[in-house]
Amino acid sequence: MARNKNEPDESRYIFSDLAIKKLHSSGVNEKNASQAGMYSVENAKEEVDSEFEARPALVIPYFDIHGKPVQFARGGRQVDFVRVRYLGKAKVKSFIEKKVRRYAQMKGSGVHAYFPKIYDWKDIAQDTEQAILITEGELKALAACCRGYPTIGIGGVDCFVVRQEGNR
Amino acid sequence: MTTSKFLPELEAFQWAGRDVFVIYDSDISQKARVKEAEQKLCSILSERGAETYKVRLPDDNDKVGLDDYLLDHSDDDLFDLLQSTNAASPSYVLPKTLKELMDTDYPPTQWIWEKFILKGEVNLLYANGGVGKSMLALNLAIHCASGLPFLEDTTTSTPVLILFAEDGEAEVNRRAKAIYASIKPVKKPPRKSPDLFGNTSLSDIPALKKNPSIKLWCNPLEGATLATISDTGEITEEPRLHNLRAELKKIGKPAFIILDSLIDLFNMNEILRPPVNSALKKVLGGVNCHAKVPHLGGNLHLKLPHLIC
Repeated sequence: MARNKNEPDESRYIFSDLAIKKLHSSGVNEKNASQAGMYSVENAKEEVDSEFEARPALVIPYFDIHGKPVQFARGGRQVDFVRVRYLGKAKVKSFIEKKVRRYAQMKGSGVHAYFPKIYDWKDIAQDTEQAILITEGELKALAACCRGYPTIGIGGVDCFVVRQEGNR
Repeated sequence: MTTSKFLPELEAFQWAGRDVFVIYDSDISQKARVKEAEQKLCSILSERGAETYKVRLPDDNDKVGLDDYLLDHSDDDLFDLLQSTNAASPSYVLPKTLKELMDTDYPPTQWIWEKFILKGEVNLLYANGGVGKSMLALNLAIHCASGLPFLEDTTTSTPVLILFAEDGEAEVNRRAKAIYASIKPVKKPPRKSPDLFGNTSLSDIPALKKNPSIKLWCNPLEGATLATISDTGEITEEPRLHNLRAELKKIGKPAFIILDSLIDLFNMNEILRPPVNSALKKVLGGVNCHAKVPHLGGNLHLKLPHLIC
């Protein structure tokens, strides 16, 4: 399997305890997570984007099959597409039990497939002899990739299509 | 209207001949929406030639995702699980072999007029102006309505509905009389002695003239246009099409519809017009559907033949 040889320096495997706990619960180690471009933040609102909640999070950048960051247009400029996995318990001030959001992405950032950046997806895309797994969730996809199974992640059960308004 | 499109980055993959294992969480069996999504994904991939597999993760009443499974199982376990999963049925009808095709018995082709007018289809009659297309159509209608052979080829006895856009009642009257005058007695075998041939009595002809199974509009004052078809194939129905459907419902069974002539009946750009047959099938396809057969007490999908002059 064509693994990416540009593995990061181990000193860059900086993840919070909450992030490490989450990664390990999915069978992903810090090295692989870092290789996939993931990192953790204490406050997603301040450190990633003001649209996110002020909570600790694992940041999951998306890359295309060529390994370049997936981007979307916002306010006249290109912004890297990321999803965040919030970590720890959220403070919810409510008498009614609310479902706490675990994942979030920026408004208008679209739907994208997740290609864990530990394989050369450009080659896999053309090599039909290579079986592919598709699963729901970035960490699941990364976990399977780490075990030798090229796996594409989708951000939701039906996030393999993009919806468009207007006539066909 | 909202439409959905396969993600471009996934569209960029070569899928034909590739094995693709779709793995949702183990609680998929309890979630209709997830199963629906799984089916849709497999269909999209299958349409592109992939061999798809719907993998079921084992669980002990706890939700198990692919990452959870890998925590408790080895790589080989996953390999075995994938190997033991049967391929999903392809989402499209597979092509047949010629042998399968030839080994299958199909019903014979159905004709309104043997060798020329197919039953249940749109048949187009093209020719230069003035050569007698309308006359031929009326002649055929008269023979079909009575099940008489026409130009030595058999016809199927069928009610006929005609819309003449160019010819008025007086002209059609003259033509019909001329046609009836030209109809020759038809030889047919007597019932009890197949070796002898008798002549059909000309007394059949008056009954033929009053044949109620032919109805026609001749250059109707309110206009003959059935539909307007834009350059892009978009169809706008006109009142005459509703009239046509209403009359077909009254007939209550498959009918032979003659529409004369095409340009008068369908407003369209002659230079940029979409394929005529396709557009007509769209318009007349609506006529085919749900023609009510009262004695069966329900709506049947009836195929109606059409002849366009």
